[in-house]
Amino acid sequence: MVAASALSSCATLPVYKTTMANNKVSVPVSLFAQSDFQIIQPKDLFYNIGLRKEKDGTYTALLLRCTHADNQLISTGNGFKCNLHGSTFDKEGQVTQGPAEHSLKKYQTEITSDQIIIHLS
Amino acid sequence: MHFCGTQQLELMKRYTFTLLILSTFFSTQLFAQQKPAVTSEDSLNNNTSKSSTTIGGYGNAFYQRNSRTQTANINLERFVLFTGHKFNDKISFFSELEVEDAKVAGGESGGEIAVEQAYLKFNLNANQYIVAGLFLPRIGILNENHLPNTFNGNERDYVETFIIPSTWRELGVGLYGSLNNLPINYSVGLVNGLSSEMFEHSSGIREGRFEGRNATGNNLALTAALQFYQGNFKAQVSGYYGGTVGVSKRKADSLGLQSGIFGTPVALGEADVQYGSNGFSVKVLGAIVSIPDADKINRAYANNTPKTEYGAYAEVGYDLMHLTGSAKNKQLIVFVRDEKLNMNASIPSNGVTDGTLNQNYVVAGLSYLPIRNVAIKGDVRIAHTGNQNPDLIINPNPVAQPYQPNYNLVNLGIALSF
Repeated sequence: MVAASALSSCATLPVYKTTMANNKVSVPVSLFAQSDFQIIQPKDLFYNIGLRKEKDGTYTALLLRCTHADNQLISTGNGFKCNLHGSTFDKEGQVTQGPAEHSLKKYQTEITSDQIIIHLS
Repeated sequence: MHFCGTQQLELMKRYTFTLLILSTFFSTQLFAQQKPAVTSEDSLNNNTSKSSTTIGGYGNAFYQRNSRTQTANINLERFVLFTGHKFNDKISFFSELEVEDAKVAGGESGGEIAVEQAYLKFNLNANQYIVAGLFLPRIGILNENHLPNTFNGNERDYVETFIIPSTWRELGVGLYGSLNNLPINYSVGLVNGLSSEMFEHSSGIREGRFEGRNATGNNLALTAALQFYQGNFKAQVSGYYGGTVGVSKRKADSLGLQSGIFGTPVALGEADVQYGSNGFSVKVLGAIVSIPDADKINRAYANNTPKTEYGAYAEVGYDLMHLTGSAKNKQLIVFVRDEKLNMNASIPSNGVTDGTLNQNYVVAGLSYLPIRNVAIKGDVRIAHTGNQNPDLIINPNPVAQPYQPNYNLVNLGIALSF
């Protein structure tokens, strides 16, 4: 139990499960009280979204889908990896190891009251 | 929509670790995917569910000078084309078609055309998917990630060539996943087994692979792996356990072999760690193979099968361009790797020890990557093996040179992936 807790705190990114509606995902701003990065897991999307709070208060949403062959990415604690061919990306979505050649897809975000809206288009 | 998602989660919880029941689950997924996962507007607009076809590939060619034979050759070792197609956001197909040694001609030996992977992938959710078909189980590092511009040296390491016979693809189903609350990824697979009849002295279990061609279905194998990530550190353990006798029970009995799913088994265990930071990279891997009924295999097929094999390597690399702060996507890696493997670490009473299968290699060199997808490599492999056993030379060649346990290979080559 203690070991599991220690593991959980050291390398996993916080995960927020939610749903999509009208091609949008809504995330509470309060999630970023303790962390500037959050994994968003919209039901039925089949890919996670990495949501990062920037220094200027805006939010960047990255689709965690490898740009090489569309495989899901796993979180490594300091970036993302595709196990299919080994491509890696940093937290900004930039390629750090091929064969992927393109950065991760970014979605537009906006803040309305206490919610961050991710536009999946 | 809700029925589909809830049903999947319930089924996943129930069947995750029961691969024999996986096929039931699998068919449920096939039918379930007929329903749209999200609204049609979402599907059209979020860019994740469009059908699409992807093409990629890799290849490598190198010059090799062998000090033992005093010969050199140049070879296009591999040229591989990937083709993938995403039917929708749940189902996709992936394949790799490989040509080894550039040319396969009728009536001539050498060269190989092979389907290296061909499988359907069924996404269950963002963290889990199932593959079915010809796939590469997660065993070691190289089996899953073997693009030639991502490893140092022109040749693949020998531990993951002979102890873990990469690239080791077999037919079956696999479940891959990652946990939300722990930094752990897992995989389990059920695939066809090996053929102990095809084992060859000097290559471990490598020649026992079917690789998708007319594999026997009486004997099967289970594989599993756990990966742990912590920032720049990664650790993995993986294993394989499978039967090696796919012939009928009647024939197996007459040969004195145990048939059945896991009859006359091969067990393989592997562990590796990798670390990379500020231009440094470290990689350590160890693997062991156990064939407890090697004596029975030798009695049946006289192929001098060992009881135990093992191998390990450690590699350290440093990117000199990190030191100079050059462009991010250029690398000049200097590396050294020490490989140790013994393909007859222990032999059964009816086996014959072959010292040449106890091998040590030091590989050192440079990898220059002008861009991430292209590598120009130069390396030296300094080899040392045990001595030849005269008992294994049945028809000595009168003009043969004495066996040289020490030699080296000089390799210069290019590699790419896209």
